[in-house]
Amino acid sequence: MNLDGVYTAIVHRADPEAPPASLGSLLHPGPVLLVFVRHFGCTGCSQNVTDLQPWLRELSERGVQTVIVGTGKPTHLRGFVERFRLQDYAVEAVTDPTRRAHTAAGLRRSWWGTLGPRGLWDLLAGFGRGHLNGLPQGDTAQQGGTLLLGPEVDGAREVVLQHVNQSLADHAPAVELAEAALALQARGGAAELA
Amino acid sequence: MSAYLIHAANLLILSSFLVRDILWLRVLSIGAGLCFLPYFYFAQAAPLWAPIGWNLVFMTVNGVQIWRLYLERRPVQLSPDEAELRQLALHSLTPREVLQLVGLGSWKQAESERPLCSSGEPLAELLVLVAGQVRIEREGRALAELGPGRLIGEMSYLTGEAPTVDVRPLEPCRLFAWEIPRLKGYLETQPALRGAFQRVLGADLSRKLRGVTESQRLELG
Repeated sequence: MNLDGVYTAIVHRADPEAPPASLGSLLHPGPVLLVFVRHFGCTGCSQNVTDLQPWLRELSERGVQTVIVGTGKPTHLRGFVERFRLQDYAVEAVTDPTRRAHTAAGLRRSWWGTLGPRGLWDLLAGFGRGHLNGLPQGDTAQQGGTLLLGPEVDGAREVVLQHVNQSLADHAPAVELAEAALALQARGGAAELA
Repeated sequence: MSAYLIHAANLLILSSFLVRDILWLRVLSIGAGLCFLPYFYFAQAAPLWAPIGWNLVFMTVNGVQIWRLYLERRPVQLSPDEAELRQLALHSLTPREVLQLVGLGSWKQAESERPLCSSGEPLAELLVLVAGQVRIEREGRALAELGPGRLIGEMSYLTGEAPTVDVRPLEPCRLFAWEIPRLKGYLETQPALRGAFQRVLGADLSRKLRGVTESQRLELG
């Protein structure tokens, strides 16, 4: 994994007025949760965001900035933000159509992950939970993933958790991410006491 | 008579397709099976054992699932102790979730002489203070006092590291204790309960950190 590559990737925001910026420039100094999704019409991304949504407030209260990174066009991102009402949550959603951030984060690009048996099962299971697959809005072979980064200390961050999605709906369970964030908060608290 | 049976069975199947509650779908399906059995046995020139056998299989599967649904849905009665534990520390959990957690732990008494946890010593249990008062100390310096409903050891539970403070009872205390590996192992198999319990831990941790920061601020003047 190349964290510098993640930070220097140029991303677009949902706000058409906001100029493209490096992903690193959007990150707060505190802990950061980077959730890489596939393409914005994907059933797996829908499942991932729906799983994460009930935890966004807690993550924010635990001092964690959540950033969702997709691979579609900025216009696709706006639709995605509206569909999941992300503007009402403490979350930043951006898109990196060049996939530089995904590549630097060590995530997989795999047609097998999308169209293999597990990918097809994910598609069916997603349908069973009410997540329909939309038209491709980004790179359909790109798999998602999650990085939980610790607070910035002397310009560097510790990778607390990395999950590389293996198929289209595979993702780190939100409850595990929230627990890791809580552990970070506890460590911070223990350090304060010391 | 046989015509009535086959129509009754199919009407029950039709009704089962119209209901949305899986429990009633299964009950109606068993009702249909009960109509099919005599139809396949008595209304034929010779009993049709294959459909009879398959119907018995379907009815058994549905019966087991109905029993499981009943167990999941029946109301939960907490004992006075369990209700107190819920009211004090686990109020965001449902009674059924509280009962699941209570089944994993045990009630304890603590005397005022022995610390509940000591700095640098790995902690085996996550505790809820049900009655009594404890003091959090660091190198003999009091950081905070905790009363009923507060958790002890949640930082170690979350980080897996030894505590950095001592916790000393100020009076005989009553506690509820969970062995940390057992609790973690169980919660890993119960994502919904794990999430709910994590919110309990998070709320207590935030309250504690706020309290300690406040007391440090007051100390610093």
